[in-house]
Amino acid sequence: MATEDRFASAQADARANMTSKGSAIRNALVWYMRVTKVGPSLLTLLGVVVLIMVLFNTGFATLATSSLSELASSFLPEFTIPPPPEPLSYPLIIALGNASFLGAMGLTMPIGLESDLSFGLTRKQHALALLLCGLILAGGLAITSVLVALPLSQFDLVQSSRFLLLFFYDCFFFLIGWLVIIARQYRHFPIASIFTVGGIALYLLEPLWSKWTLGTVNLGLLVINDTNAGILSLVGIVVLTGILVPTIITLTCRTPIKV
Amino acid sequence: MRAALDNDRPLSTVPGTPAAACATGTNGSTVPTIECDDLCLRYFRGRSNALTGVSLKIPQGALCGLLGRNGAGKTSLMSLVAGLRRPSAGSVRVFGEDPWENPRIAPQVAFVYQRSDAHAAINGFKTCDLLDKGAHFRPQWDADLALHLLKRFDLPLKKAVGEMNAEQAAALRCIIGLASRTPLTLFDEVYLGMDAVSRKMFTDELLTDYRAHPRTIIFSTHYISEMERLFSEAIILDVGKVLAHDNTGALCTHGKTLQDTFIGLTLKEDVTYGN
Repeated sequence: MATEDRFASAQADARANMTSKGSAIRNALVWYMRVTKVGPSLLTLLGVVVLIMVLFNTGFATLATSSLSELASSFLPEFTIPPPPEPLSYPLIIALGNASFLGAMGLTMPIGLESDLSFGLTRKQHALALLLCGLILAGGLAITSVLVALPLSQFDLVQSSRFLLLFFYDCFFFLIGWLVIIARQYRHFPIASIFTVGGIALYLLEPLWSKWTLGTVNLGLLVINDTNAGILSLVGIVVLTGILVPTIITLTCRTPIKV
Repeated sequence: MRAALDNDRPLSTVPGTPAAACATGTNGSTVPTIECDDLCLRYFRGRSNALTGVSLKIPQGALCGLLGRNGAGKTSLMSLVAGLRRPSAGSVRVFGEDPWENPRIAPQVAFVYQRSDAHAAINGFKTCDLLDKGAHFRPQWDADLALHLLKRFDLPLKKAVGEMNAEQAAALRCIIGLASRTPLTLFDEVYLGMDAVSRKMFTDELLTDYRAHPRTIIFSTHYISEMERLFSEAIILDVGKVLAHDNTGALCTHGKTLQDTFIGLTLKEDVTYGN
């Protein structure tokens, strides 16, 4: 499509949307999805997942975890890295962490509150549009990862539940990092990646912190064995996000812009 | 086809334009575009007064110059009007409403300012991305005008913002401000970085588009002698207070130019203006 036609088409689409309520957020979301190239990001994720599965299936996982375990044990005698139950789930967790990192990087680098304000959005509209974009990307990551895992999985119930729970932990940390970015107007991906790495570290250090938190994961696993892990995790994330989002949006709205 | 107009003639002397009506006080607008009532803004936890007791009304369709030395409060006033900040005291109303977090007012106001790191988040964007953004976010966006201005300023469509020199970045800001065609547009020294030829091109395009699509434009500048032909009225600020606000005809009496009046008032010389 010629450049002039593309702009005219974008303008016509935007004007058609502008008469309906919520159109500012919808228009912003469409633009964010376009400029952050969500589609190519998901394709990159697929490539990362396949690469990591190949690496781990060549024995790299065993070498990496045994090295990490030896290093950690020299500082924390009681520490043990939980071994990956199957060659598939462990690299998938890592892949999800990488995917979250990629998603956060792709979304945070080009988006700024000041720029959106200068283009006629309010702070609430900016925050809601970004949150929707983040949720869409997280959802896309989730669907992509599951589509990769399902044909190859031979999980038993405990491993698949563990995978789902940790998967939602990872998405949750991605969203938390994303919301912090919205609230603090950070424009750099390291903030979100800290939270993503934190999710992975949480998994690796599970034997340590589960003792302090009365075995949260083990408790969760007990519940998971009797009920649907996905629904429980999703409900938890929605509730926490439902509390955090209004708070952070309110905080964002109080922030003056220094010009 | 864009009509060739006599852009060297002061706008306020061209009959039939909103600017001329504003200059003579006969525009008949009922709701001012901007209304400030005892507006105050303090920074650094109240230790610094950016604006003090600013009260003014800017009518619809005015092309208003906002003049003042560095630190006079021009950008502070514009940021309050644009809803980027809340006042410390007093009130500001745009089209009769509080602009802060107002989804009805925000799309109607374009604030184009010069601060470079404000656009740090968009350094990776190309010109075409930002034109796309304007088309998505601005109800009155004119894509034809944006492309015309791109060609006029010789700005590449695929160039990233972070790779632009000062002149190109300034041109892009001007293009976005003009093509937004919002009912209220605020230009805060947006042309800094442009050479004299580019500034002339910008003011010519601004005047041409303003005559075809009248709207309220506030224009802060240090190049008073160069830009005063644009203005139907002017506000002179100093140390956060309004020294003068009147139509340009009244400010330029007794043979004085607007710059003369501005310098005289700012230096507290014995300046008289008005009829």
